[in-house]
Amino acid sequence: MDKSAFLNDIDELLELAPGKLKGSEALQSAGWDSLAIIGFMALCDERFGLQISPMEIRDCETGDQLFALVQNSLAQAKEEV
Amino acid sequence: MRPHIVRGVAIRGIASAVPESSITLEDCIASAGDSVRATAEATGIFKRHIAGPGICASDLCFAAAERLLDQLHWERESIDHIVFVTQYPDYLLPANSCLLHGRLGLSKSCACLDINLGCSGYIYGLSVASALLSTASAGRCLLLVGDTPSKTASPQDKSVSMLFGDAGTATALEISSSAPAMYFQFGTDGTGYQHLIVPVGGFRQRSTPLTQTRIERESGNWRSDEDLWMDGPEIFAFTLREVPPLMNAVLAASGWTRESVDAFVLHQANRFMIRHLQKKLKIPADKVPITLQDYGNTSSASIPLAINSALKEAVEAAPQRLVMAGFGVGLSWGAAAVTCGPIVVPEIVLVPDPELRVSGSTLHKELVR
Repeated sequence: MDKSAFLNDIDELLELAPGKLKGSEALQSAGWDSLAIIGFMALCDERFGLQISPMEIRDCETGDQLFALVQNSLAQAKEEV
Repeated sequence: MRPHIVRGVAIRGIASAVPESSITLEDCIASAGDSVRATAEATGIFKRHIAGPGICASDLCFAAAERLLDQLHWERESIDHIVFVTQYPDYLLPANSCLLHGRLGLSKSCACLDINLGCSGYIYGLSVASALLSTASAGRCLLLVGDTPSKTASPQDKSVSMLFGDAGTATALEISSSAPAMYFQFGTDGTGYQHLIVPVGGFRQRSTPLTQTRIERESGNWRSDEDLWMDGPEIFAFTLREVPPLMNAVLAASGWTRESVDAFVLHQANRFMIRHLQKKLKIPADKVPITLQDYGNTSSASIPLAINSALKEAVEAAPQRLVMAGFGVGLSWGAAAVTCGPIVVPEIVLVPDPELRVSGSTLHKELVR
């Protein structure tokens, strides 16, 4: 999974210009609210077939952490298969 | 879970009523600023009918029931049961079904009961009402389903303020040996009860001046403990997890293929969620009506209201295979596969508020105050 494409998806969710988020910025100050979390959950479901719990998503403070969460969840899903 | 199957009961008509007063997106922009436009575009909700202080769910269901009984030419004495589904009753007690029994002037041999469910309530109501009827040799039932969630949505809480509208519905059911079977499937996860809740006002925690006070919560939202709290992401998560298997189970029970279904009527929670489910279930968009743009999320009433507003001509004309699914507060979910039509579907009734005669924007300001 390409990290910059992943961050571009987050940019789109937050209605930011593509390439705006580099990964270390605080999501909270970029408009990360419950609507954005729902959009992110839909994206994970559609793109990766992943259903990630809102609690785990809320624990993430940056784009980097979201990326790590998705990678870990994908690895875990692979193990379960 | 095994399906519930009810045989020998037919739907004869479905009517809906909404308060005459409404709030549009423009009204909200006028009082809260342009930032609310993004919320409306995400949810797909641009207008909601709002019950003022003089209208309860019972009044909306009463208006719908009167219109339906008139158009069906059913004598009041011929009604044997009322099942009333609501989470916004007139009183803590007695039950709304008893109030409506009196108001509609029904026979003393009529059986009346309430069911306390929201988003899944229409499916449960249809199942219980049909099952009650199927144990009798003859008879008719009025299923009244309505809610006024706007009364508990804090106008200063943007996670709910532009989402909910009010509506009441009436569905007429009758014993009929030629009626096709109805298939039902249910599920519950009570461990998630706290994700959609009005915490105070029941008997666990009584109302006090403190619980009535709106205070600042997450993301600058203000609400009291007597206002509705909804954890949107948690609700979305359970919907993604439970609704696709629910729909597949009710399809399997009925033996219907996706292609043979005329319409999939999903609880009108928000457009984003309905579209996501529709794609995930691989159903064409034109088979999944969306009517919430004009009414918002009307809780238990949303499925019959969607049938009234999107499928009126179809169900009036010929039998339609409908798969319906409700999901939300509880957490509770249910689906039904029902062949419906030709039935009586009156125009949606607009109910004026005896205590309030104001325009949308004035009403919005009143509510904010």
